[in-house]
Amino acid sequence: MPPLFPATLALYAVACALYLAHLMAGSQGLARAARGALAAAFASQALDIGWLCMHGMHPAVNAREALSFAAWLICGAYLLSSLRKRIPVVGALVVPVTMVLDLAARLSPSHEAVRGVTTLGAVHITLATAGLALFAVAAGGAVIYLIEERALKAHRAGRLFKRGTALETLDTLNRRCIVLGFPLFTVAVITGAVWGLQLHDKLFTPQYSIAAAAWIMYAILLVARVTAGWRGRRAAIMTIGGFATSLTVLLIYFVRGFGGMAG
Amino acid sequence: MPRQLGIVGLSHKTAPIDVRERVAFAEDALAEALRRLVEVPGIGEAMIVSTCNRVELYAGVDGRDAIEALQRFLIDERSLPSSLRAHLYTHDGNEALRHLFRVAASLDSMVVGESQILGQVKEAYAAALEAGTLGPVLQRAVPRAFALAKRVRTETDVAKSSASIASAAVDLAAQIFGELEGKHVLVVGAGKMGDLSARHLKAAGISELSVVNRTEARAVELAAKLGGRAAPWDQLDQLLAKVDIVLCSTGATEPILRRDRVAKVMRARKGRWLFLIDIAVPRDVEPDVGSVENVYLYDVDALEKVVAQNRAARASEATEAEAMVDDELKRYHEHELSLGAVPTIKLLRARFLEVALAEVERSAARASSEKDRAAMQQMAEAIVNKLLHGPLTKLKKDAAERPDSELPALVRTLFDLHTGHTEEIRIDLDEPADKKAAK
Repeated sequence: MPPLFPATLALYAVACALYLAHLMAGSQGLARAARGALAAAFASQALDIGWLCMHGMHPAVNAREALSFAAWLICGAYLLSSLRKRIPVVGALVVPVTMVLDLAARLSPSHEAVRGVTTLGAVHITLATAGLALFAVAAGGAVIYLIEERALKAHRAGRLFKRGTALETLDTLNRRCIVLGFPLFTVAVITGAVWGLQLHDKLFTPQYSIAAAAWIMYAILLVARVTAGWRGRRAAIMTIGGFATSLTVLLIYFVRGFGGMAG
Repeated sequence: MPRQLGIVGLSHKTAPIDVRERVAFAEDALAEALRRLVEVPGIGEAMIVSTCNRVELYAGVDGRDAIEALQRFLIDERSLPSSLRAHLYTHDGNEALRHLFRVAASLDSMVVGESQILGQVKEAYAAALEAGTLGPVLQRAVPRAFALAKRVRTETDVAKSSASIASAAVDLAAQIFGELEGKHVLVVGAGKMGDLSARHLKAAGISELSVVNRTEARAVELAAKLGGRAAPWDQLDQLLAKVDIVLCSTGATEPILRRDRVAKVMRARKGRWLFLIDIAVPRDVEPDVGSVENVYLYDVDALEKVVAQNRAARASEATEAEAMVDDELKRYHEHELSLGAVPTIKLLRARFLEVALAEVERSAARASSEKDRAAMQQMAEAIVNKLLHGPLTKLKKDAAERPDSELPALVRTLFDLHTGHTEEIRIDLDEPADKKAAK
C-alpha cells in the first residue's frame, strides 16, 4: 500500500464532508475550504502515484492501479474546471465518487501485473483513463444540470437549487470536459484497437465494442452541439449515457483484470 | 348609519392568476368603471385597485346592503360565473380599514414588504380623484394608509429583506445564465411593471436592452429612460432569436407568444437558453411555452412562488408592523370620533373671535396708526385662543373617548351656537385632507 494512502483518504473524506456542509449551509467559506482539502488530497495522491511508479507499479500495470489513477485524474479534472467557475455543487457529487473509486482500488485484490502490456498498451490505458476522468466530471455536471433544470422548469427552488451552479456554467463545463476528453479517448480507442489486434488478431472484443459505442455517442454529441445546437438537457443526457457506457468498459477491466484485454 | 368603508375583491390569497386576470380592470377602462360604480345606490364614493396580485373595489358605503351592491357590481361588470364567486371577499367597517392599512403597508402582499403595492394604491387613488369619485370616507382613510405605509417602511425592517418579483426574476436569470454581463434583454410592452423589472436587470449588469411595443412612441420613450434601444413591433421574432431574456408586460388580452412561435424561434436560436418573464396580467405568454426545451417561463404566480420562501424571514418584522396597524386603527377611530366635536369647536371659536374683533374695531378708531390696529387685533386673537385652549381640548378629548358624549350639544346650547355656519363648516371638513398624497 502506498505510504500516504491513509492521509489521502482522510483528506478526501474531509473535502467530502465540507462539500456536503456547503450544500446544507450554502457558505462560500465552506466551499473554499473543501476545495483546499481536495487540492491537498490530490497532491498527496500524486506523491503516492510517484512512489508507486518508482517501485514499478505504474498506473497501467493492472486494473487496480488504473482505477486509482482514474480517481486521481477525476479529482484533477474537477480542480482544473473549478479554477474559473464556482462549481462546488459538482464537487459535492464528484468528490465522493472519487473517494469511493480510490478506496475500491486499494481494497480490491491485487492483480498481478499483466504480461503483454506493451508501451502501446500503457499509452492506451493512460489515455483511456484520462479521457474517462474528464467524462466523469462532465457526467457529474450533467446530473446536477438535470436536477437543477427540473427544479427551474417546475418553479421549485429547493436547497440544492439555491446553492446550485448556473445552467450555462454547467453546460460550459460539460462542453469543455468533452472537448478535452474526446481526443484523448479517440487516441485511446485507436491504440486499444491496434493493441488488441497485436494480442489477439481480432478487433471486436466485447469491451472494445462498448468503448466504440461510447466514442460514437460522444462524437454525435460534439457534432450535434455545433450543427444542431444540442445543449442543455439533451447534451446532459447524452453525456451521462456516454459516461455510463465508457464506465462499463472500465468495470469489465476491473472485474477481469487487464487479462480480460489480454483475452 | 354613517357612511363607512367597504371593500369587495380578490387577491393572490384567494384566487389563482387565471381568475385574477379575468377580473382585472384595464387601465383605460378604470375611469368609466369608477363613474358607473358611484351611480350604484348606496355607494357614494369609490376607488379601484387593480394589480397583478389583487383586484379590489374600495367604496364609501351606506350599510350592509351597499356592500352587497358593491359585490354585485363586480360580478356583473366582469361577468363572473357563480363558480368564481367563491374567490371574492368582502370587508366593511373596521375590518375594511384594517385591510386597507395592511394592503398599503405591504403586509397583505405575496412578498411582504415589497414596495410596488404602495405606488399602485397611490395610482388608484389618483385615478379616482381624477374621475371625481372620491368622497370623505376615502379621503380620510386612504391618505392615513399612505402615512402608515411610510412609517412601516422607515420604522421597521420589513422592507429591507424583501425580494420583489423583479429581484426574483434577476436571481432566476443568474441561475440560468450565471453572469448577466453580455446578456441581451428584450422588453415587450411599455408597462410600468416592465419598466421596474428592466431596471432591476439593468442594475444586475445586463449589457444590452431592447424595447418593442405596439405603440412605437412609448417604446422609444421607455428605451430612452432605460438606456436601451427601441425596435418596431414587426421585428419581434428577429429579436426573440437574438436575446437571452424576454420581459413581457403588455396590456394585451390574448397571449402574444404561443408555443409554435417560440418553438420556431428556438430552432433559429440553436437551442440557446431563453428566459421568459411574463409579468403581464392577463398573461402575454401561453403557459405551454414553458415545455419547450431550454425555455424557462415564469409568470407572476411562478415568480411569487420563488420569492415566497423569504416570507418566514420577514415574519418577526411583519409582527411589529401589524402592531403599528393596530395602533393606527385606534388613533384613526379616536380622530373620527373627535370629528363629532369639530363643528361645535369651530362655531365656538368663530363666536368668540367675532365678539373680540368687534371690540377691537371699536377701540381701533382711536388707534394712532395701522401698526397699532394690527397689534390690537393680534392681541385679541391671542386672548381668545388662550381662553379657549382648555375648554376645546376637553371637548375634543371627551368626544374621542365617548361616542355618545353630550358635551358638544351642551356647549352649543350654553353659547347659543345653533345658527350660522353649519354648511360652511361641513365643506371645511370634507375638503380633501391630502390631495398631495395622491400625487
